[in-house]
Amino acid sequence: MTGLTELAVAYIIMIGIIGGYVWNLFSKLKDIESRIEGVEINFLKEESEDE
Amino acid sequence: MPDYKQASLILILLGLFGSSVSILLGFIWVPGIDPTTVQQGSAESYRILFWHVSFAWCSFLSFLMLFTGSILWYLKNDDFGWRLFSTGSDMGLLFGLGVITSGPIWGSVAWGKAWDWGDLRLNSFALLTAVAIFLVMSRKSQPDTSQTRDTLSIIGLFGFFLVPITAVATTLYNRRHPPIIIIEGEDTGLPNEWLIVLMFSFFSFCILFIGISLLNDNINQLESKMEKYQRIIDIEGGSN
Repeated sequence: MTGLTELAVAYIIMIGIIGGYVWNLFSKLKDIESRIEGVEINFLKEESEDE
Repeated sequence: MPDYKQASLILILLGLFGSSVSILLGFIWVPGIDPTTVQQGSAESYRILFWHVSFAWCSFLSFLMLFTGSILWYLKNDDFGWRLFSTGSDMGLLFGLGVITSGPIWGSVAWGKAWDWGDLRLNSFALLTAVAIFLVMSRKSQPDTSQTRDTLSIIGLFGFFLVPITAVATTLYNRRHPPIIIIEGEDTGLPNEWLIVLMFSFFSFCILFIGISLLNDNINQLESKMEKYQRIIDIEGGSN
């Protein structure tokens, strides 16, 4: 074992951590945006019904 | 509210590209170190330095952001301070995990064991990352009130005091972790190629850091907005 295997494993794990984290952030952003859009549409509907 | 999605995506992709290039350069361009100067079979593993050090420096930037945010929130109840605090704790967790993942893998080759419970730097850094985990989990699980923010910002300040201890630990109490190597000295210093790739890697990590920070900030702001809407819905539901 020259340490190259460990080095490759370390880099793969780190790329995985960053990739997974960024992927998770974008899905979270998409989810919150759609929830906010839903709530805002509901608010607008309630406002127009009140008028 | 400005939408940073596009900008953050571009910065993240640029940062990831640059940091991947630094791995390649680290493998093919920088010369190997003299195997007789290190533990047998561990010479190649030193190439982890290009990401490990960049992760560590960026985590210090994260904790600086956390510290500034904590101060601004605690003294002025400044909302921008809370945004800095929230993003700083998220970033501290990500980059802290990067450091304590890459370090032990290298340590298992170079030292023959992954962790040394007697080494000040290793343990103070683990504590720093634990503080970031605590702050992120608390923020997610507690209601977003002034009292919660006050309490968490105090813990954020405590976390930052660990930064100088961690930073000087290798100089004052050098047990196992290598000393600061980029400063030229009798026993320290890096060949030019190593230094260039390390700086290039750090620059790429900074771009990545800015991209992910913007994205995190965007999400944190939207979550606050959602929580406000939730409160309005709860009040309206209660009054009906």
